[in-house]
Order: sequence, then C-alpha cells, then structure tokens
Amino acid sequence: MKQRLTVALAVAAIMVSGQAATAADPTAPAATGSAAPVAELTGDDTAPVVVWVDETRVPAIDAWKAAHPDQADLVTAEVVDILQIPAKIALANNAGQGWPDVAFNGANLIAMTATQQNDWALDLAPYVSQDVLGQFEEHVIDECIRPDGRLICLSNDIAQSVTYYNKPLMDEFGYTVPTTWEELAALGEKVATEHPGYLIGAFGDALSLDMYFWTARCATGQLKGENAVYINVLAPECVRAAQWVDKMQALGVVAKVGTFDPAFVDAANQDKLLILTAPSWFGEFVFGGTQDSVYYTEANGQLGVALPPKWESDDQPYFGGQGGAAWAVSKHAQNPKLALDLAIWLATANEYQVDLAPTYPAYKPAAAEWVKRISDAPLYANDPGPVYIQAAAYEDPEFGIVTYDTASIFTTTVISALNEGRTIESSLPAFQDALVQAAGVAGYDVTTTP
Amino acid sequence: MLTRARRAIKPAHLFVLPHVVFLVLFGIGPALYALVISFASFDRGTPEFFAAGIDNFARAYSDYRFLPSFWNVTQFLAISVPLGAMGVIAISLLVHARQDRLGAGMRTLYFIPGAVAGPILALLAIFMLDPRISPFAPILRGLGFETIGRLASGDRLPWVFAIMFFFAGVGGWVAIFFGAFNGISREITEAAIVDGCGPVRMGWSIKLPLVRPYVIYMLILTFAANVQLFVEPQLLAVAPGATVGKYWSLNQLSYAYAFELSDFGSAAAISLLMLGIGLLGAILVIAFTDFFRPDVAER
Repeated sequence: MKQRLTVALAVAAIMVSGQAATAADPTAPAATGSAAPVAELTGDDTAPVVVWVDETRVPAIDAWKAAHPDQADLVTAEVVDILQIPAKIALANNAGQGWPDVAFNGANLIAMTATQQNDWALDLAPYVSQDVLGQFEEHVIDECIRPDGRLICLSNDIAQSVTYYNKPLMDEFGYTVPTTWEELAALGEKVATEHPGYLIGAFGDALSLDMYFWTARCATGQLKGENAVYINVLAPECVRAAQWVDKMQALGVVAKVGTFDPAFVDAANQDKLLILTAPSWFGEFVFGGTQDSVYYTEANGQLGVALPPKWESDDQPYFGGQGGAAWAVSKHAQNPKLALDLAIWLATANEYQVDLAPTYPAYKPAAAEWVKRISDAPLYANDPGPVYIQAAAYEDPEFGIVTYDTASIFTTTVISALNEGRTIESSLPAFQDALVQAAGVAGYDVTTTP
Repeated sequence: MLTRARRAIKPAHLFVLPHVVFLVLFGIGPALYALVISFASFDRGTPEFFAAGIDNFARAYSDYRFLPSFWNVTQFLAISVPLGAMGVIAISLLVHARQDRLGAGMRTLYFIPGAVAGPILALLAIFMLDPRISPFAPILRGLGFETIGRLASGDRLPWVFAIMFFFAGVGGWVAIFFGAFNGISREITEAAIVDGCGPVRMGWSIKLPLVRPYVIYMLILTFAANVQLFVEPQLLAVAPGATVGKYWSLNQLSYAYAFELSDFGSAAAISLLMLGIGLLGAILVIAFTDFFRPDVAER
C-alpha cells in the first residue's frame, strides 16, 4: 500500500512539473535553463500536509483532492484569517510546532515569514524548474523573488490595473477613454463643468495607495538589497499623483472616500461613476453585474474595459501589488515533496486556475484560458481578455515587497490628513517620515536619495 | 513555631483559594513569563533566554512609536478614569435615590452593555459613532461630523475611547455600588432625613463617604484596565473610513512587536511597563488613602 502511494506520488509530481527527467535523476543539482533538471525534496511521503487558506480558496484544495484521490486524505485545508498568518507563524516558532505546510497569502505577508526571525518560507528556487517559473508573468513572480535570489512563493493571481468605464454614459456625453493621467485630468475638468456630480475616481482608503501612488511609481519602498530600501515619497513620481488627486478632489470629480464607501457605492449604483482606474478583480467582484454585486446589480453590457492610463513622461502604464497573492511552502514540512507539488499545482493547474479561480491567474498559460471564461459575459461592453493580458505585463519592476505595513502608514498619515481637510500633497512629508521610521524598526537600511 | 505553621485552615482561606489558583495561572504566571522573555533574544524566531540583556527594553522604549503611544494612553487615562469614576458614582446615586420601578429599570438599562463581551461592545460603539448608520446620526451631523473618519481621528480619539470604555464598564460598577449603598444601615439614612437631609446632601455627605473603599477599589481597577487599552483602537482601525493607527496604544505597540516583528522580547518589555504603571497607580492610591485601614468602612 505504502509503495503504491509512493509511486502515485512520484507520478503526480512528474505530471505536475512536466519534468520526467527529474525523477530519473534525483541527484541532479539545481540548475537553470529549460531542459535542466531540478533538485528533489525528500521527506516522509506519507506525512500529512496542512494548508492555510482563506475561505475563497477552499475550492482550490477540494479541486486538488478531486484530481488526486489517492492522496486526498493526506491534505487538510484550514481556513484562517490570512492577514494573521505571520503572527500565527511567529507563535508556532515559539512553540516549535504548529506550522502550516503550505500557505496562501499576499507576497508582502509571505515576505514577513521569510525573514531571519521567522524563517518559515522554504526557498523554492532549487526545486522549481525554469519551465514552470518562466511561464509566470515576469514582474509578478518577481514579487516572490527576494533580492538575495530566494524564491519564497509561487504567484497565484494578478491584480493588474485597468480602466473601467461606463460605456453608455461615455457615449452619451461624447467622451473618449483617456490613455494618460493628464488626459484623464482634462476629462475631469470637462466633467466638472459639463456634468457636475459625476465621478472619475475615489481616493480615501488604503487601496488609494495602490490605485494612485503605485501606478505613478511612487517609491514607498523599493528594495535595493535584502535589507536595504529606497523610500522617497517627496519625489516627482509621488508629487504628481498627489497633485492630480488634490486637483480632481477640488473639482469634485474624485470622491474623498474609498471605493467601498457607501456614498461611492451609491454613486456607482446610480450610474454616476463615469470612469475608474482599478485592479482587475473589480470587474467580476465589484462591478459584478449580478443581483448582489457592489456596483452594478444588472449586466447590460455597460462596463467598458480599457488599458490603464500612463503618465505622459513614462514609457508605459505601471501597477504594483494591489492584492495579488501567492502560495508558499514551509521549511518545516514533514512531506515537503507533496507540499511543493501541491503549491505548484495550485498556482498552475487548469483544474483550479482556469475552471475555478475567481481571479486572473499569474501563470500565463492558465491566464490565456481564464480570460475566455469572461469574454462573453453580459456585463462587459467589450471583451476584457486582451486588455487584461496586456495590462498584466505592466507591473512596476521597481515595486518592492517590504516587511513593514505601508498601507497602514498611508492610512494614518495621508488619509488622516484628507479627513482633517488638508491636501494630499501637504501630507507627503509626514508619510515619508513615518515610512522611514517603520522601515528602520523593521531592520532596513533606508536611503532617501536615488 | 511548629504550632503556628500547623495553624488550622480557616474558612477565609478556602474562600480565597479559587481566586489564588486563577491569579497564579492567569496573572502571576504570565507576568513572570513576560519578565523572563523580556530578557530573551528572538533573533532567530525561537527564544534564547537571557541572551538579550536589556536590549529589548532599549529597543522598545526608544521606538519612534513608543512616546506617541504613551502620550495617547496618558491622555486617555486623564479623561477615562475621572470620567468613569464620576459617572459611575453619579449614576448609582441617582439610581439608588429612586427606589422604585424607574430606578430598577434604569439600573438594568445601564447594566445591559456590561453583559455584552468587550469586542462586540466595541463594534456596537463603532456603529453608534458612524454618522451614516448611527441612531444618533442627527446629533453627530449637528456637531459637524459627516463620516466616522472625521469623528474618530486625531485629538478626539482619547475622548472617543473614553466614552466607549465608560459605557462598557458603567453597568457592572453601578451594580456594585448599588449593592454597597444597600448595605448602609437604615438607621443612618433615616437619622439624616430626620435632620433635614435632602437627596443631594444624602448622596454626597452620607452615602458616598460610607462606600469610600469601593471608590478606591474602582479607581485602582479601572486605572489598571485602561492602561491596557487595546480592543477599541484595534477594532476602530478597521472600521471603514476611520484612520486610527495600528500603534495607537501601548498594548497595540506590544502586539505589533510580537506579531509583526516576531520580537516577543520587546513586546514583553512593553507589557511589563503597563503592569508597572498599573501597580504604581494602585500603590499610590493605597498609600495616599486609607483604603486598608480597617475602620474606614465603619466610620
């Protein structure tokens, strides 16, 4: 029985990684290049694997079990608050037990578990072939690669920035979809005079950092080494975003609340939202077009999807982070081979990423299939697929995965200033100071000049 | 000596025993553990005992968030402790003065929030403070607060938390004081009434002095509890639109050290500080009052 299980394991591993040569030569060293074999993980092939996921990803584990009935009993999914995973791992480190073998989380939180103190996430670089790795969207998988070369996770999905617009409204007003932030500002000025009350954005919660500052390439934490970070939110990249928002909010065309604030949701419900640059999960989950969706409760082909705007001085649009997550494997796994195979499967297999995954896959072959699922959806005015695929390549290569909580600092400085009635630009020095201090406490050497 | 050591167990010892067990398990034990790990190094995740010296204390107390948190909690205490003490005394005197159905009804009404668990109560309070959903919305709007972000930010936060704390704790204390007032001898109150004592004078000059130990006891406990402010800012931080920092109070900073930086040593250093402040408060109150003088209650 045990032998049959081991064979099944090996076969599964080969099927998943597509590396028949690997199993034949387990002593092969880690190497790069598409044909090169990768190192093998060894452990107890019959040991169980515990996976920490959020509620949304439980079907992923069920799909794996359905595809691997022989090993289904070995894998257990535990639903946890994924924001608490670094804390739970810190506790497990103290106790010397209780770690998950595989975990689903944002790359920034996985990075917190891959520090010298926590030392939980396994470096996957020797064990994942270039064939697999090369198929992930390049700058997205970069989020999982530490400056010292460790591969601490496999990307699950991409939250690329795109422009959503209300097609009937844009046609009625005779506007064209802007391709730059400068054009969007000009459109905002027109809306303010011609159609006051209509909106072209929202700035008032932590997501505003992603939507407006990171798309402008604002350096809230660019990694210059494993423990070196460049922070400069007083640089022109950030100032242009701040001034843009200040100007648009003064005109009343960008709301002073977040995109999930009831007031903004009402505006979207009542077709007062003309245009919104947002992460790609907004299409299915926020605009939606179903009865219980946040913005649109009916699907009338009203939602246009276009490439996000770029800044005129930039060569292309950019985005950073925005909620894309990844799969990580534990250093303490008793059955590391199964844990790794599971993580690879979850990030790449069509059975999950194409058939079930609610978000745009980071694994390109899966993404190409995934977009077909929504190409004919009655919500969209045009096929969002080609836009999503092109926009996925725009992740800012300078965007750094840091272990301090940028979003919370943004909220307590910038959003706080906004609530007090001050401008975004005036809050930047406080934002800068708080970031520098937080990075220092987190153990980074901070530079503030390029 | 031997006879003294073999002294019989008195009923009082048995009454105290359950408390002592829990005090050791959940009070003294964890405090000693915190003391031990405050000198441990967590550089590699697992504790290395006595490897850090006083580094953890130096690190935590020189953190850029430490003084702001300390100041926040100081402001909060300056508001919440007097507000709590005066509010509880005023309400319980009022409730006790009306020994009828209205008084009993009000007493129950005040007690209800105290019967709800702390975090849930904090959530309820957040709903009450959000002008978009609160039943008090017209009042909040009238004061110029259109969103909870405007209301719960900056200098107003110590007040907001003090009010949240007050309604969470007032009911339990009112019940205790009500019991204490009931323990006052009828002869005294009747004699006062015969001497022409009105209800205000009765509360201030007769009832209150007779329950002084309870007041002191309440001051010590609320002070120690309020130093450890955690749930209210932590939950308000995730309320949509609110902009409370994750490190508003000392307890939150301690939590951040433990669970964001995996530095349980520095977290313990801050915990010990909170324990020290609470103890110091208690010692000062006891030293400058006659809390432990046996004749107090009989005066």
